[in-house]
Parts: sequence; structure tokens; C-alpha cells
Amino acid sequence: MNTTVKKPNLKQAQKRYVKTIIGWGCSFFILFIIAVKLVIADKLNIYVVVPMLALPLLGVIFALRRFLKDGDEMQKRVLVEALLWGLSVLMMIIIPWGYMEVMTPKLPRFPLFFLGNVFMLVFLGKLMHGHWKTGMFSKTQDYDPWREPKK
Amino acid sequence: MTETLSHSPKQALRRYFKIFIPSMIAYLFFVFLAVRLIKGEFVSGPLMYIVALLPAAAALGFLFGWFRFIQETDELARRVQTEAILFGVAAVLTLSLTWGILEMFIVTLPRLPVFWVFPVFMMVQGLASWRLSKKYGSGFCLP
Repeated sequence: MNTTVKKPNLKQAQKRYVKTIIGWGCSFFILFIIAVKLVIADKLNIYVVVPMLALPLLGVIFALRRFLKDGDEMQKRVLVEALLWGLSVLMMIIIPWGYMEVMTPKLPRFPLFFLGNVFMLVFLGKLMHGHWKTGMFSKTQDYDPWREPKK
Repeated sequence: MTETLSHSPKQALRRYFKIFIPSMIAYLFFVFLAVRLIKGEFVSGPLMYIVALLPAAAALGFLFGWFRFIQETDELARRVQTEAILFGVAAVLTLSLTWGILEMFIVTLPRLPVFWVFPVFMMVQGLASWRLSKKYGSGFCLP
């Protein structure tokens, strides 16, 4: 039986993913600057600010989740590996430091702010490395997981 | 990229439990030991930090088993675990970036110990894993 598999529009999924990430990322920083100014000026309650700042971050995560559904197998695998790398490094910092902080009061407090940055740095670094290894950034060949294998 | 799909999902689950059970027993033992030794002032100096690190070593052992399971299992279980991790990461990032940044600017804000990040992550991830395994009809939701 001659069956044809419809080629998915990966470029569209990638574009949507990048647009969403950039959109939510920018809105986080804009909201953050506004929130800090309003809180310092005593015009906004802090407990309103925290959920407000959380919304764009959740947007980034849900963009990743949607990409897990739309992207091809190789991209998903690269994404999962990057996620595990980011999480491993994050846990290797917070678990030992957290225990030492709780049990030994002399230890300096680890700034909570750096955790997100550490995760993002490792995650994005590994994601770029994975895409580079799979040829997505290659100038000489177009990345196409559905291409015919070379004979 | 390394290929680690040489195990069936059941084998992967068995290998996961082989690490999960001993690491959880070790974790409980080390937590009680560390609390007793440090609070009772039986240890001091650098030895105190080593004792405080013991439960963390057991928790990291559990994480190793869990990540290995994600790499070895089938597509459906991997998807459930990956999406659940995304929910956990969302909670951790939201908590650390928003609260952490505000902590830096607002002195009156209560300080949140970094110790609580791991339980928050595991709680959100566990709930998401349970919900997603029901949604996708996946056979197992990991403890």
C-alpha cells in the first residue's frame, strides 16, 4: 500500500516558539522594572507583584511545553537533554547548599535570584550545543529531519 | 548524542527502583544522623559541613536514578516525566526569579531559604506527573 506521510511544518513551530519566548521574556523584564519602581514608591502591594511577575515566566515554560508537542524527535531529544542538564546543575547547587545552610547557621545565605540564572545559563548553553551538534546551525546544509539519507 | 534506549520500560523502572529505594533509606538515615550530630554539638568545624552534606549526597543519588530512567524509558513515560519536570521548573523559576529579585530590592521581604526549592520542585513535579500519567494513560507515576 502506498502511504504518504505529511511533512510537518517545523519552521512554523520553530518561529512560533522563538516569538513566544522573546515576547514573554521581554514582558518579564518590562513588568519587573515597573513593579520595582511601584513597590519602592509604595504604590503597589508586594503580594500583587509576585504573581504578576510569575505570569511571563510561566509563558516561557508553556512555550517549551508546546514545542515538545510540535517539534520533531531530534529537537525534542535535544530539549530534554538540555532540561536535564540544567536541572542537574541546579540541584547539585541547591541540595548541598540548602542542607548546609539549614544545619550550619554560620554559612552565608545563597541568593535565591541566582538559581534561575544558573538554570537558564546551563539549559540554553546545552540547547545551543545540542542544536549545533545535530546540524541545525549548519550553513552548508539545511536542517531537515525528513530528508532522504545519503547513499 | 548517546543512545541509551537499550532497556524496556519495565527494565528501566526496575533499574530506577534499585537506586530509588536505597537512596531514600540512606537519605532518611543521614537526615536523622546529621540533625542529631549537629544539633547535639557532637561535631564542629569542617566535619560539620561534611555531615550536613550526607543527606544531599543521597538525594543526588535519587536524582541520578530518576534522570537515567527518563533516558531509558519509552516515549510516553518520557513525555509524562518531561512535562512534569517543566511544571516543576516553572515553579522553581517563578519562585527564585520573582522572590529572589524582590528580596534584593526590598529589605523588609522575608528571606526564603534555598533549602525549600528542592521540596517545592518535587511537590509540583509529583503532582504534575500524577495528573499527566492519568491524562495520557501512562502505566506508572513515579514516587
